[in-house]
Amino acid sequence: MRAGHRQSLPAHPYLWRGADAAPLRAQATGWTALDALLPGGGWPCGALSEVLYPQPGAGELTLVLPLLARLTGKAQTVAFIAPPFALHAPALARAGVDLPHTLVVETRNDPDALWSAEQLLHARTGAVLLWAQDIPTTAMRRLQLAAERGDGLALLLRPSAAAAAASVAALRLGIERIGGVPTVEVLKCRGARPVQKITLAAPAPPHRPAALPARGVRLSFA
Amino acid sequence: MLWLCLHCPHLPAEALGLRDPLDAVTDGRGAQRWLITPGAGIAAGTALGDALARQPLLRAHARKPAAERAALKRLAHALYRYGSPVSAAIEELPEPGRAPRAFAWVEIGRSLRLFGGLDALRDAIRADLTALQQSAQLGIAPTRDGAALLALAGQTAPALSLTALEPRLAELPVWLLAWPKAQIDALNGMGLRRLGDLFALPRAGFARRFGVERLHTLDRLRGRVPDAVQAIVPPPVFRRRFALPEETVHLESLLFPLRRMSYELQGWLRARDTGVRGLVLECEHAHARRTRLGLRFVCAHRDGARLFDALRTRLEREALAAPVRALHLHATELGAVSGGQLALFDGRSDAQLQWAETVERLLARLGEHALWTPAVVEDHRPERATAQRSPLCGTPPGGGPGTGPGATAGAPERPLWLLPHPVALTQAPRVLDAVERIESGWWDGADARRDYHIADAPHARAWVYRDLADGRWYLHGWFA
Repeated sequence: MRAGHRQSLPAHPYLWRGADAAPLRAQATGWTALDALLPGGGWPCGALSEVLYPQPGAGELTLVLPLLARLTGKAQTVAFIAPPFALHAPALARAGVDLPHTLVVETRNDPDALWSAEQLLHARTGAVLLWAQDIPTTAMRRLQLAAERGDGLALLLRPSAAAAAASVAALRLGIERIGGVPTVEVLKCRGARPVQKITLAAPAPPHRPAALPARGVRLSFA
Repeated sequence: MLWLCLHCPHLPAEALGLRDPLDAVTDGRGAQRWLITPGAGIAAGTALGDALARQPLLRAHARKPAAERAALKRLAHALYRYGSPVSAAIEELPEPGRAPRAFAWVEIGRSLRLFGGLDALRDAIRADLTALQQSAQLGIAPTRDGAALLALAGQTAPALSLTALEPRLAELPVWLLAWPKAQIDALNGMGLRRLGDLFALPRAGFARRFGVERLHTLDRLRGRVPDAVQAIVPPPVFRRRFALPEETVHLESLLFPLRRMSYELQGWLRARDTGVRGLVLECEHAHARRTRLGLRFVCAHRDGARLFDALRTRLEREALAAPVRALHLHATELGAVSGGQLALFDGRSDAQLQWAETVERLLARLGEHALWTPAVVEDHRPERATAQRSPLCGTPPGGGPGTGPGATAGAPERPLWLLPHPVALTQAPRVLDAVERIESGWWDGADARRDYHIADAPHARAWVYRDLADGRWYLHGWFA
């Protein structure tokens, strides 16, 4: 009797099964432990993702470096919009980023930065990294739509204070240093429940050893 | 030879930039003035007094022959892309009050195959005329005068050979010829109403009665005597000035001349088979003051819409300081167009083009120094190790030394964030590693003698150094 029910269930028209949902397309983050956790196995394609950090230098760039190295290696452009400090080219090159495929956009105010991000996403830029302080929900929706249209990755990097605010981002990651090690927490992800309380140390991305920082920085989950 | 003729009936108004139907252009002799373009439903050729009596709101503008010649020349330059030779003429009719006839010709017999046949060529020319906002009637015939008469009569069907042309011409009325009205009336009085009637007359008698010159005109029409063409060649530099009808501070009223100049530049670039990389737009104000706006493109191109878009974005960003009297466009930097736009079935070049346009739009809005691509400079001083290159079209081959992954494999660890100015620390930080001494630059005045360490800060790893000159500690970057 029970077996009979189980076989007949999938055919029922009113039944929706999560496993049959369209798989998420994603770009691997390059951090194997993180990829294993995220639905689709990385940064979702054609969507907005958020990285929240307590202060610049917490490891937010280390987190995205493997992605940048892979994209620029495939001759896709990566844009940095309104970075808080000057990017140091030797460090980027050392991490395997192909510099001719990067673009830095310096803006005077947030509206200019948002406009630039939207334009670049429309132009099918591989990934757009946007640093912004206050970003209204409508602007986030626009970024999300621009990322969908250009099928690129929109990464919004902003201070941790925004973690409490609602967000339309498909993926939200919080990063902070705990005991000298960058630690990533998945705050929200589309297509799965956020995983909490997982502590594991991941080796650096396997495809490009140059991206491994020389000393003590390990990406781990808390 | 196969000539395509464009007849521009509204050239006097178009040359003055008039688009309102209440505006009309007048020509005068002595104290009398006549309309030479139709305005407010009143036909050309009406005396100004009569026209004003019927439509008091009519605005009369005096004709400017120099502006008409310049406008026709611009049209001729745009036609240069379709064939050669190109010629143009404005025929003044003997009586005042009759509209002048402006013609531009281009020889298309040899370029028909290139453009894919007569229909495709005509469509391309019509599209160009729309872009230039120029109204014109087309005529195609083996002789220039024949093509002009067909265009005047509004017959767009082409006459491809002299034998096909003659019966077509024979059907046209005599008054289409640019002869004095008295002579036309005399011909009509004799019952000679069509050109065919004139062709049938005995040549000697016709010459004696109306003059040899008239006979020559008829012979040139039918291609029986050679036609001396004064060819027009585009000048080697592009410089255009557009005087606005009145001073303005509004961007909207500048868009019309901007669009027109953009497409003229496109035509000029196509004719010279080159592309533009740098432009200067100057706005002329009162008291000979000028606002100069420079514009640079990522790669040389000749797309009128892209030029217009860039100019408009640039003007939007630049608040106009004073009312503008005239616009001046000058192509300062030319360059060969990359072949990408001719690629067939290749989406990649399309994406590259879109990318270049986006970068240009960003440059136009944010300023020329807001966008850059980092590059590694071989210098030990960290603040000099990053070069800001302008974003280039496509990918430069190689990319310069030090950018490949192999070249930097053994390089020492460097922070991703560098502070624009080192911040002095009040106390010595807790350092994590051995010292790395950087001592360089004694030869260029920016002497640096520093001991670098990686230090532990609460939220991040910091890159600090002790300046050997003053012994103080500084924070120089973050390992983000």
